[in-house]
Amino acid sequence: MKEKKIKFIFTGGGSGGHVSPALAVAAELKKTLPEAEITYIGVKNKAEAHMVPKAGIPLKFVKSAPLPQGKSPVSLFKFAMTMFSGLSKAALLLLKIRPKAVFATGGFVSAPTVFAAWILRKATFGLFKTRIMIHESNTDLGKMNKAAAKAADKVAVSFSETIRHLPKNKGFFSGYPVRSSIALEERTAARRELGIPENAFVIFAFGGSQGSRTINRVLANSAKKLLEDPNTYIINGAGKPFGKVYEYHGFNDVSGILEKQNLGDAKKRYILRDFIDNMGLYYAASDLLVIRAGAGSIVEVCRQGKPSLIIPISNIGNDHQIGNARFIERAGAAAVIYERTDPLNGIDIAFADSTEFCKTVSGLRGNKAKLAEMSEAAKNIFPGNPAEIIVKNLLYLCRLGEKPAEIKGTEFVNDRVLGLNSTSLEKFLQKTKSGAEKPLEADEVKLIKNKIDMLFSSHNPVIKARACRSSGVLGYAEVTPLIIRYAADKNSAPFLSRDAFAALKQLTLICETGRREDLFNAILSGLENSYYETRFSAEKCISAFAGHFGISENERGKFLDLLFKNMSDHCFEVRAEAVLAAAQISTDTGNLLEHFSKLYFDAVWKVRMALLQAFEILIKRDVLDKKTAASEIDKILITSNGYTTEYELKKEYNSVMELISQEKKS
Amino acid sequence: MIYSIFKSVFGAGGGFAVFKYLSSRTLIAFVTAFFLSLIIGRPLINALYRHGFRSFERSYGEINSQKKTGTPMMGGILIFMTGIGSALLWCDLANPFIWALLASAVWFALFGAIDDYKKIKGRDADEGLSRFAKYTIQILFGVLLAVFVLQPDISPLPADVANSFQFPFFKGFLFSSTALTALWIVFIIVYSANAVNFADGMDGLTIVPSVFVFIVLGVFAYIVGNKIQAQHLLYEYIPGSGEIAVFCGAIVGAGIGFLWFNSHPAEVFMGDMGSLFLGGTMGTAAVLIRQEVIFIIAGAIFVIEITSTFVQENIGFKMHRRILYRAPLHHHYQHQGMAEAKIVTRFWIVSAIMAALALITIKFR
Repeated sequence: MKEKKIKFIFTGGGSGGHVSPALAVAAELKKTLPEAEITYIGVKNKAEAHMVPKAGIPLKFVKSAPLPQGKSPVSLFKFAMTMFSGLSKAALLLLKIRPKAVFATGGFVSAPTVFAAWILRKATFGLFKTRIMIHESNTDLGKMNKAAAKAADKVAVSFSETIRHLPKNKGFFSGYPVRSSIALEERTAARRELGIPENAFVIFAFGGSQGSRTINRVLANSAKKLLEDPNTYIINGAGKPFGKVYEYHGFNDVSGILEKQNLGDAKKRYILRDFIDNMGLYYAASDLLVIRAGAGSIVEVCRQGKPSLIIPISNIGNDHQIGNARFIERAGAAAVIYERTDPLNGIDIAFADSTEFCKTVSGLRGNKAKLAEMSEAAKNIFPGNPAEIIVKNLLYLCRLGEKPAEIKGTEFVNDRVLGLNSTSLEKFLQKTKSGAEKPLEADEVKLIKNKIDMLFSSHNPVIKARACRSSGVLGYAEVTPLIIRYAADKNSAPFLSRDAFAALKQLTLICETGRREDLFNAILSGLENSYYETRFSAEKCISAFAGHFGISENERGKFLDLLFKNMSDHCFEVRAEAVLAAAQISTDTGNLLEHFSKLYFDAVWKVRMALLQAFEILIKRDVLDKKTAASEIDKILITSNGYTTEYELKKEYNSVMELISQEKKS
Repeated sequence: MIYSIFKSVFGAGGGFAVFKYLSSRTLIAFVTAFFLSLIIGRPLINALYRHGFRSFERSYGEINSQKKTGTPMMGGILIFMTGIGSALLWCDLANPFIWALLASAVWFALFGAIDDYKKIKGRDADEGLSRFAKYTIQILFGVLLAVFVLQPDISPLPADVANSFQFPFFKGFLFSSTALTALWIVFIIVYSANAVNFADGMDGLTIVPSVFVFIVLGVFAYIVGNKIQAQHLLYEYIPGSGEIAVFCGAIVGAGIGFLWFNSHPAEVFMGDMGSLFLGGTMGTAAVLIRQEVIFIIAGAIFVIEITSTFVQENIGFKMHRRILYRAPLHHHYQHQGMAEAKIVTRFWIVSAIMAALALITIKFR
């Protein structure tokens, strides 16, 4: 009798980071269960089309597409049509193959197969019995994976904290499966094959299958300096796009930069590749790895026991790459360089500083003991064999094996400064200022400044406005010139100019004397801005300006002219703030009182309250005698339509609760 | 229910005459709902508080709402229980208009309750149903109602009335179109549910204008459901629609009963359950008597509130600026320092004037 095959379908891809774990699991599955027959379902022109046939697994294609970014009906319709076509084809394949289980590694490529299997099972009321297992490689679930997780029977996760986001009893920790072929290569043999001398220092940099702009550029820009040492070799997997339409072509970009660098003879020691299949060979040959902090990369590199220099992508999905990188850094296995933008000089594409990069690399190059230490630390970070754990669970799911023991994964420590968006960042900074959060450490300040730079580099003025506010709360003095520029520009979006002044109110106090002129002009133009919130924000800056720099007669005159004009503004907040600002800087009370007197019966009582406060200021400044003030105040309408209430019961509640919490502490 | 019992026991003509007349049943429904509120109000509010249905600070609150944290929420359940309870007692339950109204009440109260529950559980006002889910629920009901009104086999309305537009100050129909009427009905339902929802933000701000609207709708239902009155006042007669007046009477009673506890300073908030339920039934009643324009005039406060929100959030945000100080409009005044009680009273005055205006249109045609 012919041996009966047990069929499986594997799917997932889009980028190499999704394909390689699937291939690792496939290899492990074949090893454990020789009668397993695996078919791979992927999308044309993506990483899987390249990698799967090389692994000797039959590959079928379906159509699929990532969720459209915008909400335009056209793109949504296109997406729906693609998915429909993909689902139908996947369903046909599933019916034809009738696999025991579907294993998916996520990404949009796996969506049609997973959902088709799920729909088939629901539609046949369980007659179609295919099980579904998903592997999630990142800490955070993507949108598609979130939906897919609902359809799946089990979800393997690379990081144990992901389990919290999954339905109960669905998730289990496995780690990130790494191709076993990688581990086998040997250093000396690998170097011989690549033509690199035994005692050379080899830097191997790669940014995933499609390449990383930041890594490629910092490497190419530092090449001249680094290769000055004749014993240094650089291997760069620069990446190339899979489809015809692409945003970034790594190989061409690096070639272009190297051309300009004029490396001469040293060029031989810069080994540039577009796509690397036999990673194991290069891993084995290298001394230091320069990588991104995707889950796949860091796990793979740490398993090799290699020291690494990590440049995490910032400003994406919850900052998980920065979190990953810092985790490895804390474990002592890596150095981290953060990419950033430079909005002050108009560089809005993230980059890593090449001076810092050179310094870090040379430091490591000269410290063999440190490198050895890092290698040792790397080996111990990720325990267990993920592919084995997944296969065991997969077989158990198909009733083909014993229930495997549960494994506890590595716990990440979450940095409080990571994963903040433009809104929560400001709230967080305010908390650190008010003492509700612990004060910021130096490295946290650095991360936050990077984050604010990124926000400034956004195209959305609302995000820029929030960056202004955060800068103000943090006291980020370096960006003051940029904020002054936003404030002074009459064409800035209204929210942006408003928040620029809100930031300047705080930044003025730490401003250099050289900025006085710019700041003065910005405030002047702000007082006349067409947006009411900008006008009163500018007015609020005046007292800070006068307090920090002192005020000249000329400046005082110009400010007061506009403030008097603003006292008849249609917006009550502009009137009120104008009154307060004028009281702060005025010396000629006669003129001032004449303008004040027009507001004594203002319809909005908050303006009249500002008047009373203004009198308080004038008396304290000693520019108005009490007798005149009293007679003026007597003319102000003090009837108002607003009041604050107090619930006596809640007051008592608060005081007794305070008493209780005090006793708890002591 | 009681009406049906009397009808079956004494026949259509006999029995207590007092239960036969629409006007008397409307009054009785009003009184029943009101006193029911007074009786069950206090224990219900306490139960809500005890079970953790309390309001919390809105996470991006611009206004000083701290003062109100902890107030029992989901008080809509009080309006629902007393209003629908009284309606069940005093309405003719064999009347298809009442079916539609009861269906809308249950539909919107249910989804409002889910929304409130999610918010309370998530301890955040943004944790409720998604915008998409809310609109889907509203549109779905609008479509069902449009089918009910426009499908000749099941519609309780005369075919020529069902698909034509009536406007105040104009006699008869302006024009007829089934497709346009269907769209119009869906729009009215979505509008009314949302508008009342947006207006819900201060003590007594929603319930009083809602009560005025229900009074106006009740009066109109009484007129168009009465052949003599309808002919006399030149309205299209809709047989059976007079029963809607009884329903409106019950809701008005429930609303005033709710105001008893919701008046400033509030001891209970209606929550989304209340506002969706009021808005949904309001819109449904207006559609059933085909007097949507009257409804819009009488509920002018709701128009103002939803328009101000739209202007601020949609138009303003695209221009990267605030157009009003704050939105909805009641927060605009609050930002200027006006006391809550004052704003609410002024909104009541405006809504009373608009309700009166809507009633005056009966005579000016």
